[in-house]
Amino acid sequence: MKIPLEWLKQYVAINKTAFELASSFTFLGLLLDKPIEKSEFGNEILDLEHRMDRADWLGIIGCARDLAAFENVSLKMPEMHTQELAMLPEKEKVKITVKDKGFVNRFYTRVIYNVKVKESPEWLKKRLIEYGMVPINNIVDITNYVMVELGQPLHAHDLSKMETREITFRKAIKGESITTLLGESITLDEDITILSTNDKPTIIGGIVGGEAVAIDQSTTDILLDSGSYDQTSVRKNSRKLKIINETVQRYDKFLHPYNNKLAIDRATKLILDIAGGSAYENGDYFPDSERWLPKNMRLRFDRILKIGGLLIEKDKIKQILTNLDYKILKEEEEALVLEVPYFRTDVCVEDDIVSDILRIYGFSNIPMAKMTTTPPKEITPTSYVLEEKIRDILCSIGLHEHSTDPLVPADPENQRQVKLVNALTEEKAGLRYTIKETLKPILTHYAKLNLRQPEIFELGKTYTLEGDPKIYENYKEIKTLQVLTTLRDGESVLDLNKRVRKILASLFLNLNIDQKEYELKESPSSQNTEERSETNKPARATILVKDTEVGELYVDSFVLYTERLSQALKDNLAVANKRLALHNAHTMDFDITIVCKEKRSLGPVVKNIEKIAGVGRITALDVYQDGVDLKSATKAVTIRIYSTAQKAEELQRIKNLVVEEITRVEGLRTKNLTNQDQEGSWDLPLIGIN
Amino acid sequence: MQQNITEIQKQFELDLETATSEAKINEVYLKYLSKSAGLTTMLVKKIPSLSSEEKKLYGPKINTLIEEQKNKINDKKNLLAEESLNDPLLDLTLPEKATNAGFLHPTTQVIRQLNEFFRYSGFSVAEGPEIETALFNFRKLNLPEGHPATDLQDTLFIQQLGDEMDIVLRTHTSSVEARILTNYEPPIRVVVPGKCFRNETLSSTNGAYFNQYQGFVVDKGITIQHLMSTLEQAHKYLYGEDTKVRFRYKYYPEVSPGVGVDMQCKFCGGEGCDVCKYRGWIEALGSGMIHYNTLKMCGIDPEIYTGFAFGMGLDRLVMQKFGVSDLRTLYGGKLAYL
Repeated sequence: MKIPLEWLKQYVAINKTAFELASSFTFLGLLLDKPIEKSEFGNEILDLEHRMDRADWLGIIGCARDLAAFENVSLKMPEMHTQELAMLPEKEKVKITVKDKGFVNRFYTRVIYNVKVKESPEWLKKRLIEYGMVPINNIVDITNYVMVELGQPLHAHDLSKMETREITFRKAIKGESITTLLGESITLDEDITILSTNDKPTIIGGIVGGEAVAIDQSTTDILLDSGSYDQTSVRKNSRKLKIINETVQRYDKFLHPYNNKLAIDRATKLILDIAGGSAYENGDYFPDSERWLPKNMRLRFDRILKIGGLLIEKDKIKQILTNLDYKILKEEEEALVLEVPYFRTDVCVEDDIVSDILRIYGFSNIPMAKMTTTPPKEITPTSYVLEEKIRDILCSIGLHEHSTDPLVPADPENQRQVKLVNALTEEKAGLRYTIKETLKPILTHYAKLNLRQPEIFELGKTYTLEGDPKIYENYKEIKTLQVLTTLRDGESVLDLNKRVRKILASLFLNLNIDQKEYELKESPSSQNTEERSETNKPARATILVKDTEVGELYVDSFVLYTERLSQALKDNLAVANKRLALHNAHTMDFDITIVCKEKRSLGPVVKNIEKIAGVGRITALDVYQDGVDLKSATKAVTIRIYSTAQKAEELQRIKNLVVEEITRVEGLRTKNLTNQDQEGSWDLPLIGIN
Repeated sequence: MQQNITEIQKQFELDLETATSEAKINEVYLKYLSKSAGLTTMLVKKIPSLSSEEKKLYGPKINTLIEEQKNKINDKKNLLAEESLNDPLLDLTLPEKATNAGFLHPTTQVIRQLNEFFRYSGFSVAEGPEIETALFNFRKLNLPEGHPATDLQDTLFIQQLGDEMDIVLRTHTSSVEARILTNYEPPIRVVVPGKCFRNETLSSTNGAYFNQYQGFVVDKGITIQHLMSTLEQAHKYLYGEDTKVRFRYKYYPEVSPGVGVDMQCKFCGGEGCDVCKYRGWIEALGSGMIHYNTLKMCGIDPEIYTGFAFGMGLDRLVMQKFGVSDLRTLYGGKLAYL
């Protein structure tokens, strides 16, 4: 909202600089939006940010009223036409018919005969120019002037251009068109309410006038209207037609119909003074006027104390309210009964009046106080705490965290994807199904910059639709950790996957998840290469923690569902001290190679070895082709077994049991049993977190 | 066999002698001691085919040889390490870059900093769904149907089922406030960092996806004075003790009174400059006393309890702090840590 200060000072006699006035407006709720400008006439102009609530702040008088209350000076209202006007003879009247009753709250009309259309006087033109409007002629300029002054749009029709003396409010017929005052042709539809004369559209209700009845130099007789319309309808249709002008900006707020009378009185006064002529009442369509009577509300003094935390003198409260045009209907010991000014359509609850009092009293006059009550019970979800730990661990072992936009293109083939109905672009018309799809471009970006391929992760959500899209509960959001990397120069797929498994192992180690508590179980669909290519699914293993499926591991990545993991880990999120103690202990370890005849996953065998008493952690050291000792063998896997044995005999017992466990499985044999006694050596990084 | 042992020993000595780097020494190790194909290891594999007398004779010799070779390799490695200490190029004082640890995303870092302050003040961290109903995203927050903020132009819809049944992408983290107030009994102190969405095309400063940080308190006796004190402390914690903040009226539908919080511009000290658009102050966040209707609609008696809430966009803060000029860098796959 632009406020030319020369104009403002007509209503508030105040001797303050533009900067000081801007500061006062800012405290009142009208933030200075742009640097203070100077007009071509040397006057200063404030551009204030208007929020959606206060319809009265779209008139300079509304802003002036609050400023006057804040500065405790009087407000001078502009001059109105106060004399009663004669009613136009019935046969000369413009008949108003409202077919779209939901749209029109009030439609006040006057006819002014014998006006002289000419250029506006200098003072009027100056003010409009300073506000940012182009002067057209005195009649149009006056309607614009009153709109800026009082916040109420008005419209003047050239009576001689109306084919019949009647106006009908009706819904447009699809395909009907109108040429606006700016000469633009607009095609209408049945959602849009129009004003028509002789069944031809002349105005789009509350949005823009048509050129058919526009005022020009030849005009002598005018119909002046001051209407009040349904704000939602104006907003929707103006956005649909992409017409946002000064009229729309006011009509899409909650303007009270009482403004209509005030604005038409002011415009009548100015027209008679500037353009001459004689004015008559044409009619006041105001079918439900009782509904619009000003509200009465009760303001308790202790409510001000409850919200503001301070006692304000009763006289001060009354002064503030009176300055803001509240009427004090009754004074009680503990409350005031008030009539809320009609133009304050934003006041709905008692706290809104408290707001007004605190605002005018000045927030800067309110002291501060620290909260002294006992903090309530902690309700932070364990999954959030877990995710924070995961971030720390992954960053500590060299992974970078990234965060990507979850909006992706809609995939018509994917029925489970959550899709938007009103996305602005096709690229952002759905929600991601996996984080991998939005995270992958990051790796490409690293490659473009010639940086070493990193290991990266994101903690975020994936979204799926599980059934009827009309049922809210069918939309699932899954909190997910996605870890992703890719082949580095000269790296084999085996080494790539080893890196991925190592990240998982390091993460679990530092989350205090014992190796015995988790398992990588190859998913049935990816048991062998042939089947993989048939189903076109990548090699995949399910990650189980304490027998709960918590994620999936792929060649280059893994995902963990953090809520599920958090559930599975209820007892594990303790301090990793136990492991720190183990770190320094002497361990008696040994390596053993398992040779198998066919392509098979050895994870389940390793899980069984883990169950042997005295066996600790197990890691895979090497995987290689072994065709020398056994003709049919294709794979040999060397594993290192960390034991809890303290004596050679105990170690031997464990070794025997391990060999027994391996050879028990058909097609497996062992070789190369080697001792690896050492002092606390861990090949996974352990982070000292508490 | 003896000849084999001697030859291998001789060759080993020669190879080790000529190995002058750790990599070369490792090669020697693999040549003689590799489990699958090492020359010395192969001698072990031949033992089973020897006669029992030969086994007695050569078994211990081969074992001794393996031990000797391992020790010599270790000794050589140690020697090399010692020698390298005398390398004239060794300079312990040169600076090096740290590459070992990874980086947290800038937004996470800012969220953590904020969380740290609020958790010291007794706040919990809460989360909530990003796919929301209009009930929690609008209605319970005093945004009736038809309010401009609920338009198609501002909100991304998943299903338009009418009024509070509409399924939308949450437009603010206030929806979590509505859920917590509905599901928990006061006293409540909670902060909510989270993703939000709006119907906007992507540019360098705005996008359909953005991050917000929300906080709210509901208890007996909470006043605007507690709001001001908490938010002033938070700013001083984040930006330093000399930070000045001011509170002004600003309308938000879910609070009454609404309070805008500005921080005095650190670039011009309040005089007015390009950075603060010549206001002298920079808008920091929006806040206010939780609306009477919001408390009521969430099942909390507004005659007994009062509360305050605040919310801020995180992205602009993150971009300023880390010198990122384009939002697409932050979330659009164009961020790389060097």
